[in-house]
Amino acid sequence: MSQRKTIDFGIDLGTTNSAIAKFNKGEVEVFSNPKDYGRSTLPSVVGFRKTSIFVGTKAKEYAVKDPGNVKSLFKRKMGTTETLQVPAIKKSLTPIELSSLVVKELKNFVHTGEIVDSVIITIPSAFNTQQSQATMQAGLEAGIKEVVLLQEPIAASLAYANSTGGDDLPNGYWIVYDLGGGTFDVALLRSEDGDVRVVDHEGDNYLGGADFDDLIVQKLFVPAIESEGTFDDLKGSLVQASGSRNGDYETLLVKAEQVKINLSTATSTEIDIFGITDDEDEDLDFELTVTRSEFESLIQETVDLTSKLLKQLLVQNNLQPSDVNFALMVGGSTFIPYVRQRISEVLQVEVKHSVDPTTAIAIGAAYYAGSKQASENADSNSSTKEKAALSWKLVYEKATRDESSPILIKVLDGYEKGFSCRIFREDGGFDSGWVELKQKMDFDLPIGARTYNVFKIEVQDSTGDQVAVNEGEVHINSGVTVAGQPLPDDISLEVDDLDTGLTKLQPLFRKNTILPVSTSIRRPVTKSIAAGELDGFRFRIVEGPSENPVAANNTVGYWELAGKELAKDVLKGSDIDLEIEIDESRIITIRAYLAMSDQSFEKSFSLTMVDLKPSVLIEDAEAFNTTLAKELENHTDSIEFRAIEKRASELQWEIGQLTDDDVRDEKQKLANELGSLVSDFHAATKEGTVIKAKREYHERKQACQEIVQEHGTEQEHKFLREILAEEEGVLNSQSLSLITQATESLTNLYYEIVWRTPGFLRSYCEFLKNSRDEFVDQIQGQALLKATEDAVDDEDWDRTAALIGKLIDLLPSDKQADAERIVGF
Amino acid sequence: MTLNRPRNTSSGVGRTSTGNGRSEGITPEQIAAINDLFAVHAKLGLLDQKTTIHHNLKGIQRFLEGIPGSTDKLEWYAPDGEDYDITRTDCEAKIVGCEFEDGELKDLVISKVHKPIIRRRTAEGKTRILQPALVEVTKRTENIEKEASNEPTKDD
Repeated sequence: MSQRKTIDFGIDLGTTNSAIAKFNKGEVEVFSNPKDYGRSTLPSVVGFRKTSIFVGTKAKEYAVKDPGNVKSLFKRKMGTTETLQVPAIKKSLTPIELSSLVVKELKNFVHTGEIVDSVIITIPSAFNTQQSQATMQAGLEAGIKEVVLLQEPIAASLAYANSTGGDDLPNGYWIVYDLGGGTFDVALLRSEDGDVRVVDHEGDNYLGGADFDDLIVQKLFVPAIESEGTFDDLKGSLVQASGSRNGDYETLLVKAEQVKINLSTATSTEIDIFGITDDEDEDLDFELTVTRSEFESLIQETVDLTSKLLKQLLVQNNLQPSDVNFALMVGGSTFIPYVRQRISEVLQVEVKHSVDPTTAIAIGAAYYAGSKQASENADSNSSTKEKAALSWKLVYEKATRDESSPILIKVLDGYEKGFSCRIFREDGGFDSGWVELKQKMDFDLPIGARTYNVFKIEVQDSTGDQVAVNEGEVHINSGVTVAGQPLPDDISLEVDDLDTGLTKLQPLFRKNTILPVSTSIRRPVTKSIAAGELDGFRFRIVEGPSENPVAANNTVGYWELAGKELAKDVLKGSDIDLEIEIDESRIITIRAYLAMSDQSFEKSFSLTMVDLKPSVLIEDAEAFNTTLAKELENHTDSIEFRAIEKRASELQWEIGQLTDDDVRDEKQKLANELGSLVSDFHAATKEGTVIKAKREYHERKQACQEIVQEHGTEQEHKFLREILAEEEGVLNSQSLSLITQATESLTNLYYEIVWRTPGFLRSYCEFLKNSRDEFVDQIQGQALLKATEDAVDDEDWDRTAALIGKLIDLLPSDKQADAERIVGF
Repeated sequence: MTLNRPRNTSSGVGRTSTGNGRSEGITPEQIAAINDLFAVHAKLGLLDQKTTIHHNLKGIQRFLEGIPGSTDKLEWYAPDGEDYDITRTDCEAKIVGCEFEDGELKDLVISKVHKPIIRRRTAEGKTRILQPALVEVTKRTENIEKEASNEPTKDD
């Protein structure tokens, strides 16, 4: 009998440690490493020798001997074009290739002999689309046929909620505080009768325990080493790949991690520093004592940053700490007593660490995997692929909190009279007994509370022989369920801005929309594209606040559809229909239908990397500083702007110091900081932008009132009254988009009237007569001008306006303020 | 002089002015649905004419002709096979495959209609254009006239 196949396997692909777990009928098993004394996590470290590769603890140990050939923390570089040089194999490897080696090693933990074909891999909720897709690619390169991504806070919630059976999960808000080795996530969740939903989240992909290790090296080890020997540029020689002591840097990081772990239980610890040679060839060998208070003062600023993000999360959801029931701590760095203490102080609510912070994510991923059906293509484990003699469709709810749940059976093929069927719960809680099989029938299944219910359905023929069916098991979860995973940020489409000749963002999906999601929009084509030409349409999908300028957001999909792909010319004014969907693993697909050429195109955005060359970053920083300088001319006394300017110019300097072979995460960190600064600046200028938008609204309103008073129809008077009736709410909303929308309505009304006003049309006609020499097609221009003059003489104002529109098209593009069309729709 | 464009031409494409005198009560979605229905008619014209689907489409057409809260009606029309000259303001044209005598655009005919002319008709019979047709235009030949006259229109 064929089994209903769920994904079942969950992988936590961590920055510093990874783990794999499996869901099996309501229980989760975390697999342990057979090569590492049964340890349940695998250090995400890969070591290379000429003929062998080793992953995990062994690789970590090897880092001390041959640091240049041991790679770690590569999760932080996922989604970038950076590669890591491995001298032993004379190759550069991508973060994806390195991560895939970790996944391959995790597959070896599975002792049951099953093939891991489908898996849930967790990602930080702040991972952008490139980083997410890179993670998926790592799974696929490890030979897994199907990879579904899951955000880590959801996994942590599932691990916690299922560990308590939902009993300890009161209705209301709670927090997941996840401080791992390399990333930080804080998520606000809401539970209601066992259903858990992620409401919002904040995070930092470059903040974690590895930063604490780096701080110990930079702030404690380096000064101590400098005081023991003679060095010209110790720090530079440690952190640069070409630095003479780069190998020692890896060794020091391993020692720093040990210091950090020791200080979680002891108030002070000693560490031996040896094997480093100073500039005068003296070998250093000394013992260093580090106290917990020294360590705490080092990490205080970073931990405060996490509490700042936590507070921000509450503020943006209009919540007080007292509105939160409890906080769940996960991630290895939450073992640090200071972290627990600070978060407890900030929230003043119970801080729980009842689930093992190191395996919680993998366990949660496995719970999720148990509820997700694997795709048929990915199933290699069903050895019993006998052909079903009877196929049916089973319709039921996969998760419920009710005491019973209906199931509808609809036989599709193979039905014979005399067949009977029986459905029973595996724990013995229900048995229907053998009943006559009908082509359509239903049962009411009693559900065991807060558990995973497995029902089996069997069919036998009139002689009592078993009949093979296409689906023989029904799994219904009455424990805790999640509503799905939310989008980490707005997703928008770049479209032409008809008023400015630039582009703007059209929001497609808002932050926290539950995936999968799809939408369709129709837009008129804004420029004619001839079949065969190189010019075409540009589709750019960005991730980030949709109020931001396009360039401030992260491009997650870019596609050009050139005229040479068109079967025929596509005219301005025809329609383009776009369907955009994002699946649960954040793969974005665009389908475009061009009505005029009657053609459909489809594009899925697979892996798109962010190229973080220092030169690109320098250009970005310079451009931003130029924008800032302009803005500061109007805000010389703004302390906030001065602070942004100060940090921006520091950043420009710091970015200028980057070398192409810098092995630290500096490039990524600085790029991220620059991005946040641009966002801060946008937020800081937002108030000014809203004030400007309100001024424009009032100006347009006055013009509109005057023209409606003088030339408006009864309907136009009514329409103006309707706009003004909304005025108070619109202006008080402080929403830029609402105010701009209202101004646009007034503008449209204004031009609707002005374009039939004789005085305006006559003067426009005169202007065009004076510009007659500039028409790009003189024959058409003269013919149209003559027709326009005739229309004016006939006082046919509708026709006059339409002819003027045609004449404007004949003017050179630099005369048409809005002629430039970038995107094409 | 600012070069803003009139809103109801394809030159002013993408600008919708719902709620004002010309298009009060009509949403951009209603105009889009009319364009879709027109395209469906055009595509079905290539199929078996005996199909009864036209009855179903007629029902949709009646719905789209109405304007909520108004006695006015919408009507649409495909100017296939009609003469075209540059001064026609109820059409936005693409002129294809023509060699002009003495540089003049003469003897032009509408060979294909991509979007119909959509008009608003008041109870008193006054009409105003809401959407000019989007058409292809070519030099008049007997063949094209024949072909154009076979294209379906709203009245088919």
